Amino acid sequence: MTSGDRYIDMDLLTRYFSGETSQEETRKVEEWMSGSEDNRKEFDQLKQAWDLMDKTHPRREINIDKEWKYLRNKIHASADQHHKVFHFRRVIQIAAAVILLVSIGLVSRQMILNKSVNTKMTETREISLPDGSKVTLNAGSKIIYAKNYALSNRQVKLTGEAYFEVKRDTTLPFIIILNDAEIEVLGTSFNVKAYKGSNKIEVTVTEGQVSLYEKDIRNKRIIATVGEKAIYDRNRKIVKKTLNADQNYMAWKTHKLIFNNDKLSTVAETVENVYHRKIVLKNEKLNSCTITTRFEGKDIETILKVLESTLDITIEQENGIIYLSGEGCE
Amino acid sequence: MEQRYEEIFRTYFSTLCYFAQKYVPDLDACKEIVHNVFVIIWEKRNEFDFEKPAKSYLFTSVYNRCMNYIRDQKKFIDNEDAQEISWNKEAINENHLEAAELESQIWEGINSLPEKCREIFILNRFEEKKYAQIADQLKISVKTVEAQISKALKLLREHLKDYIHLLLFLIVNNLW
Repeated sequence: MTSGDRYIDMDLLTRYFSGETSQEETRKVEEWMSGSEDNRKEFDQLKQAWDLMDKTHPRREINIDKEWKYLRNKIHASADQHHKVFHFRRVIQIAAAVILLVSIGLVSRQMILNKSVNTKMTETREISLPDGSKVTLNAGSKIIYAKNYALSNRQVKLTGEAYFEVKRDTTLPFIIILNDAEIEVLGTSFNVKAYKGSNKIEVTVTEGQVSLYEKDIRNKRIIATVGEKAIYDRNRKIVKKTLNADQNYMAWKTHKLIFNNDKLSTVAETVENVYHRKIVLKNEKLNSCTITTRFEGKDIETILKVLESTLDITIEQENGIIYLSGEGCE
Repeated sequence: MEQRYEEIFRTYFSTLCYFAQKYVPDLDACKEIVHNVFVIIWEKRNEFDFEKPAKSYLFTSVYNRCMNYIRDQKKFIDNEDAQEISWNKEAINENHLEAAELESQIWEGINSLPEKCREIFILNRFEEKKYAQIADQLKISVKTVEAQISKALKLLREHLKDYIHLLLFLIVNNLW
């Protein structure tokens, strides 16, 4: 090919953009390009089309058919809702009459209307709700839901910790009532940590999005999405969000623990939460020990053994409490 | 009317999402914002004039919703804890609109490629696979890979030729 050539092999040119040409070929392309004004123009246009792809990424592709379907469902759901509201008004009237009759009797309204599930300090439990949503309760937790759940509302009350996999239903938002805050979602998966004695509520999102707000202040809600954590600070009475840095937030459910250069106190805290056993570090110095490791589906005895042998610490158990002692790792 | 509604949706949805993203970083949140605008249009369909060009109404609505979204979110970001959640506070900007249009055109171009051609092009261009790796993965010859990629480039140049000058403008002005 001489420098005056009008045409160039497109395969060669594309290979050049891809960075897969030999020195000889590279020279050929560059020679052709500087051969004439037209060649230069042609080259620039193709190069620009090529470079344009850097401005996007397959993750950013939008599937319009999928989105159209989603919108159609949304529209029809909101149309159905008007229908339902009317319909349920009657249902509610009847229910109210029934409640009235029943409460004349000796049975308390609470017992008739609500179902409640408690977990002991050493167990976790999975519950299916009438609408197909799933709740996994961590130890020492309690969930209450109305008997008419999924008919006119999807509300539950929670204390403690639970992982929710909520079935999508745009007509009935799923609401979790905590003591002083509420969570509202349409359909997502997330972990809620709201133990009574703790000064904060934490909501970590695995899928979709979740809104969290202080009780009765719904217009000041915060929306957290995948990889984020919404927090309600009980002392300062504020909601806020951060990126979630804790890889083990679901370990209590999955028994999958990942430690990455974590301090022994962090490890102990995580293991406590997952295995529901009290762990005490006898010695401040122990906190100079860090560990990087993963456990999957292991029992607590195995984990303790690994810690004992890798960190050179002594582990004793007394009355169910686990004591760690040693010289530290400095 | 329903047909026209769908047509408007299909024409503008992705451009509106990319546009929203100039203000709200999370693409899923942007999709939700744009969907909500379309829900409102549907609810007001009896008053909405489907014959009038919808474009400026759509972009203004999406822009306003983005601003509301930012306002709602901002209140809750605690300075101590907020990590790299920053918001773009600029006003509505024609260039954002054009950059969004361009990105949606890029996808229209990629998606109009013949299937095999598209697959090979994406492997090379986005997953940064070498010709030989693609040939190996798809059990075809390197020559075929080469031919498909240059075919893709030719078709894309054709599809995007009206937008290339726009790209230059955006880059020169540091808007992208």
